[in-house]
Amino acid sequence: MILLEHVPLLLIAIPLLTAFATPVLGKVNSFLRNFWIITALISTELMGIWLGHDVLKNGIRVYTLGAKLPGLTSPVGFPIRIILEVDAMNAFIAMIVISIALISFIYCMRFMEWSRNLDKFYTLLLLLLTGMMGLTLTGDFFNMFVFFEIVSISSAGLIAFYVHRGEALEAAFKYMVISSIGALMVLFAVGLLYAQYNLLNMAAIADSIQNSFVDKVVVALLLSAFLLKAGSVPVHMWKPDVYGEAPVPVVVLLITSSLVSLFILFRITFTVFGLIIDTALLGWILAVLGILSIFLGVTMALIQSNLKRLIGYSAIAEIGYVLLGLGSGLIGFPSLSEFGVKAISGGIFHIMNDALDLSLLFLVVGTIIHITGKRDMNQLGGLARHQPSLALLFLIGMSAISGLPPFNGFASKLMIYESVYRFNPFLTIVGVLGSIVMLAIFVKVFVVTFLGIPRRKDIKEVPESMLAMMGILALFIIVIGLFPNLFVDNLITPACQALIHPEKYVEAVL
Amino acid sequence: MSLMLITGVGFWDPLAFLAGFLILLLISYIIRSMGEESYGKGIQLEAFFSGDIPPGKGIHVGNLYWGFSDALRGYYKKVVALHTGIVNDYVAWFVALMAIILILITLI
Repeated sequence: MILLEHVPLLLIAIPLLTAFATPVLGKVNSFLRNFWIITALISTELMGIWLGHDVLKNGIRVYTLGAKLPGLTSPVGFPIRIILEVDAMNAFIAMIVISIALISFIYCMRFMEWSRNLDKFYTLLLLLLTGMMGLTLTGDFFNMFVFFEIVSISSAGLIAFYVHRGEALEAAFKYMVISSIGALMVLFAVGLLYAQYNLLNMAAIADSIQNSFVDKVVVALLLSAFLLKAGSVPVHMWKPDVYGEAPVPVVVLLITSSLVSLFILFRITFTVFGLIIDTALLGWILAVLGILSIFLGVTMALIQSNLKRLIGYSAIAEIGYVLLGLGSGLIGFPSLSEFGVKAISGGIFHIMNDALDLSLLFLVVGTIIHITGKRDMNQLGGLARHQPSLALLFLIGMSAISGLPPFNGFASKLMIYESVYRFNPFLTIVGVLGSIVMLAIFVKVFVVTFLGIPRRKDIKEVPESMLAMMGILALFIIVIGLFPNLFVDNLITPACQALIHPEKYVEAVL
Repeated sequence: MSLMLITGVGFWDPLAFLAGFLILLLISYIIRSMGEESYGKGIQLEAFFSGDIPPGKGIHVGNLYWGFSDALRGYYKKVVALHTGIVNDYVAWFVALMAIILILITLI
């Protein structure tokens, strides 16, 4: 299949070309522009599913840019061109990114319809998607830096979109400073690797890695930069500031970009450096940061009254669960026990669940702001009388994120708790306590916002397309919660196997 | 094909949980339907507030779980103060994290 060979590139090229076409089409007709964007995103989604199916069936797929054949990776004995490499883990993350982006875009159509700058908004949103897809699919360190920058620059523009609000500009400025410093560290690390090995390809570097002092410095630089981007404690402080000010559909994509950063972090630690460096130490660092993120995230969320900031702190705690699962797995890597594999699977499973649960909660909060104009809980109340469907959607989202059975968050957290308990019971205890406090927080939000006496009478109706997008997310949450083994067996386990077998990733290129 | 999720130590069967939950919901409904029929709107008493007169207004979101946040007053005082909102501090935390990771990885 000739088209299938080019799908890895098309997953990046379609959003990129659509981004540049958007302002032109917007000048012609806004309906044409929206139709074009949705068509492009649905095509990308279908191609992503096709590629994922192919990778699960036939193994890793590589794409060499500029080569006579896409699979011609090492024409002179080592890789010299830009190579995209897709295994079950990349394909899984790419699917999450495209799906969340599609839902977010359709939600945007009504949510942002009041704006006169939608051409610019959609262009930046599509560039952000391009950056995330590039980060996910690249097999090359320098391009990883380039896509890291694309994500940062487009995100900063989107965060500052409510330009009339001074706080939005301040949040964008903070994000830009933080991202630039992170990007500098990535570039420095890439430079050090290139100086040592004359290589930029991840698989080739993984094959040549020496565990020298410089390599250790590179690991520290990359680890810090991607932890910063993921929003782990103690470099989490930008998150509530940014999530509190950016438009809600942008926040949803920023959450996804944080999860992509976590994926890159694990690709680097498991695939590139996993077989040579002291993974036990790295694992403990990540697990401890995970526990700190859980504890600080939930305790800070408890004292918030701004809904967006509150969920922003909850997002920090949720990142902590992923770090805890994958960090605990990394402790025993590469000779993993069954519990180690389960911990990693639980962490990967939680990436998907986080993307769904946090997206649903943020979209519900966005809808609350859309219909009431308020984001402070003290000014809300009794919304369930006017909007029972919105209350139900929030209830599903809060139950899922708090890890209540039978929703999806419970299944992944159970896998993390049971396996992490074998490494260190204390870590599990803090994790469970974090979930309990998380539930307490969202019970408070639900009671204050949706129950009680209505505080406002001028409540607008929720547009059907926005409700439909939240409904799709809720449906996924319920289906994954009721049939978790279907997703674990068919998506999570292959992704976990791809991550813990770096030799296959290396063999596909060399 | 089994619908149970193997978790490493045990298993998780969401459908069995759902069945149990629905049975409990049915039992709760039966018990509720056996209750006082005349109970309805307008006959509720004042909320019990530890024997004190319930305040009419002035209770806000922040007051919920006040016991928890009050018990952790010392912790909150320090942690909230760390969240200055100043970007220089954010960068300082990043430098500190990077330095700690660097020391741990290179020296241990």
